[in-house]
Amino acid sequence: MTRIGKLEAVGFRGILRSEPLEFGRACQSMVVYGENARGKSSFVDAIECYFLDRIGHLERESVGRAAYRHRAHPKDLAAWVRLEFSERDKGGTLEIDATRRLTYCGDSPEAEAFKNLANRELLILRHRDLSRFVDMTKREKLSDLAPLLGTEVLDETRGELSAALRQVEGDLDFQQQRIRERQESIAARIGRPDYSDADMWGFVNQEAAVLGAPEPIGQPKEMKVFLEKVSITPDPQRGQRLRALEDAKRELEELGRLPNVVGTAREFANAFNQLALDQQAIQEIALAGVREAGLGVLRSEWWTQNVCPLCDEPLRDRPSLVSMLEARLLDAAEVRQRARELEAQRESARNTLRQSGDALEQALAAVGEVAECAPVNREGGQVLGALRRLNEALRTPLEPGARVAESEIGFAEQQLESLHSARSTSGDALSAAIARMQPGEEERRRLNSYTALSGIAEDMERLEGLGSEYSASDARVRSLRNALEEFERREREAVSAVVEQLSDDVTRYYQKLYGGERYSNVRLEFLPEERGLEFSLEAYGEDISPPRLILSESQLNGLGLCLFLAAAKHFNTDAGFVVLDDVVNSFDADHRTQLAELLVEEFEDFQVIAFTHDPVWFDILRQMAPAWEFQRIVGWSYEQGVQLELPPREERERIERHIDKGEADVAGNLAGDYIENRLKYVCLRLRVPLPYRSWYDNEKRGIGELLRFLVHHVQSQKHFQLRDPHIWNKLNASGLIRNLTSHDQPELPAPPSGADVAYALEKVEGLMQQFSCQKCGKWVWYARLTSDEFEFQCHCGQMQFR
Amino acid sequence: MPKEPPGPRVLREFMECLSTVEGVDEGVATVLQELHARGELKASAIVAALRKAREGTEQTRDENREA
Repeated sequence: MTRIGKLEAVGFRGILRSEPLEFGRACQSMVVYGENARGKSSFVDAIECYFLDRIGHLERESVGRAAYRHRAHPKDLAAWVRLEFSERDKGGTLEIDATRRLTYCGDSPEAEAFKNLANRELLILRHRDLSRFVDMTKREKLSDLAPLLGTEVLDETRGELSAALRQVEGDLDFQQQRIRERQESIAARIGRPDYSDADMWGFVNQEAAVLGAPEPIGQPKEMKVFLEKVSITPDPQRGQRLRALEDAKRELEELGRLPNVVGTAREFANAFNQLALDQQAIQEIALAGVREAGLGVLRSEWWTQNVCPLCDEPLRDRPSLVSMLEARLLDAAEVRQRARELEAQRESARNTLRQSGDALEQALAAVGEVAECAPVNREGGQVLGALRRLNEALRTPLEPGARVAESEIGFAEQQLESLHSARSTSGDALSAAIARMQPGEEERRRLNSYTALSGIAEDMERLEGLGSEYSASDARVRSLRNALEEFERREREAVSAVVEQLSDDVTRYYQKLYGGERYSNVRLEFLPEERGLEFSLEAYGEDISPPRLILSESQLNGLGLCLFLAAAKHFNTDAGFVVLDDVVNSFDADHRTQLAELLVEEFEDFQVIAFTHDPVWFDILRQMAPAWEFQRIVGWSYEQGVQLELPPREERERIERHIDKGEADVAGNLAGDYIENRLKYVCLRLRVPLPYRSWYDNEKRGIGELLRFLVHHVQSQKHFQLRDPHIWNKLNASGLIRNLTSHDQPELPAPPSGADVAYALEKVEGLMQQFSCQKCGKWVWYARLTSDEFEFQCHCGQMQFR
Repeated sequence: MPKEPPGPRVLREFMECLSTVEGVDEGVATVLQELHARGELKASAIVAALRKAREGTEQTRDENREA
């Protein structure tokens, strides 16, 4: 895994001039200390911007990219952030020009590939985000972790499988309804309130006996064969005519069962026309397809060209484009769902139309030769034409302002009404024709039996078709349901397993932070029924969930931190570092040491880059992890930006450069810190006794106090002589030092001159030289003479301090 | 501890073993696998493919009956 080797920025956020953070040859972990408003977060912003091409907390506050550049940075120069890594070819530079355009330039092709992999991982945790996850709902928690768990693809697949299952179940319900209608029709024909096979076959055989059936009928096929052969009258021609009239009547009856074409078409047209009026929604739907395709290309490994696959323009900012496309697709999710439902409705309306058309064509073919059915034939032809026109209208593509013409639905409705009327006329004509033939008593009885049996045979034939359709649909529904169940089982097992592993780490980390307190077994659990995640813990012998019921704000923040660290450790495969921005701020003093220990012990194989304004935590980590790098931010100003602490010689050179440039006020500020640090160093080495102060107040000793006790301590040594006995007076003569040590400084002290600063530096250097042996060149604190007194001497022994 | 996110792996393994899952018809499994392979696993496409498969079956049945 890759670690950061060097972070450097110029003109970026609060960093005006180059103040690189160097992580050493081994790319060590680092703690950066700086008081508030000294520019710590500028370094974190630089890392975030380098990887993600944006700074999330600024985006959330609607702050534009103008804020990415330091205002004092020359407008004609690009601001930049450069990162180098443990693998040299992965380094790169991100530039922000005056037009706020971001341009990334990797040192090699591997650099950009690494950047694109790492930006999907957990890199940065800021103080303000600590409890964000803990406060989310269960569903939000799962969807927040979804990109890491990769469950988005599972959510999508489950959604599509479920929707498909609902649709085929709908088909099944429709078929079941049609079967019920046919059974009710048979029940009506045999004069029973409900359908039963036994009743039906009893009736069939009773009527077949009237027609002279030689043996009992038990199968639909047998009945069909019998009806084809049976004669109603002794005169075959007359019999044939009677049968034709009776068959035509039955076909007209079937026409009355046509599905509700107009209703389904109108339902679809209303939904369609309403959506088509929403121009923005249609554009979103249309663009979603393009965006989805573009996103697929950008995410693919094979798209290595530096041009946008959507517009062929040079691709300057690939991750931003990917984020933008993802956000737009998310925004369009609801309207796309509406569009999908609309397409399903369209499909259903067109299916109904097709079924009606087929049934009508079949009926017209059957009654075509019967003169009494001429009105039905005429109107039926018109209806077929109207249905074809309606079918075309239902195919209208979804575009802004498009409409499914109501007139076509109205026309089809009108034609169907005419057909209905013609059906009635033809039905009457058929009945009249049968009556005109004046069948005798026996003939009428036989005709009634034939009519009843033909109707049942027709219903049974349809039932048979519907039954096999239903069986096939039922098999598909069961298959799809089993597939979905299997899918959900696998999903549940896989997500539970990962969450459990994550949870084990969270439990261990939390135990390290808050071990020994009342709460135990802090866990993160996957709740498949609720499609969510939630924390739980044990306290006072009870399971508690959510933890907010019982944990303090600080403990909740701790939980958020544990989850971030566990998730980073679990999911980061390329980035071997995590950046923590002031997270210790949220912890009470009692748990800072535990946090330091957690980071040192559990993240040995990670590079931890922690920014803090807590000096105690900084010191704790310095004691606990001597191999880590430690850096202080000593100043920030608009003119200079962030200033890191440097070794004394380099710091003095930096101050001198400011003096040479005429920046005396900047030099004065830096010199104040420099002089204080030098005096602290001498006091520490000479073991100057100072009055005790509690906690970090020990660190907050000004130049005046340090100097006063140093003078007293040096003067109390009987065997030590200053080479320059006037050094104290010379120091006190410095206007800058006088200003820094004065108790009654004016509110707005006059800025020091360059000469003042140079004089103070020279005298402080002179003071340091008082403790260096001229003969051996070693400091007087080179060797300690006794174990319990503050007595020292140099290497050669010529200079003694006692 | 595996570092691979479970989502894509679960989907891939599910599709691979779909034909052997008890109670899943081979035709349905094939439809889902083919749509997944083409990146078109959408409800409307699944339903359309299943209806088409049904029509195909019915056509074959009709042809057989006629024969």
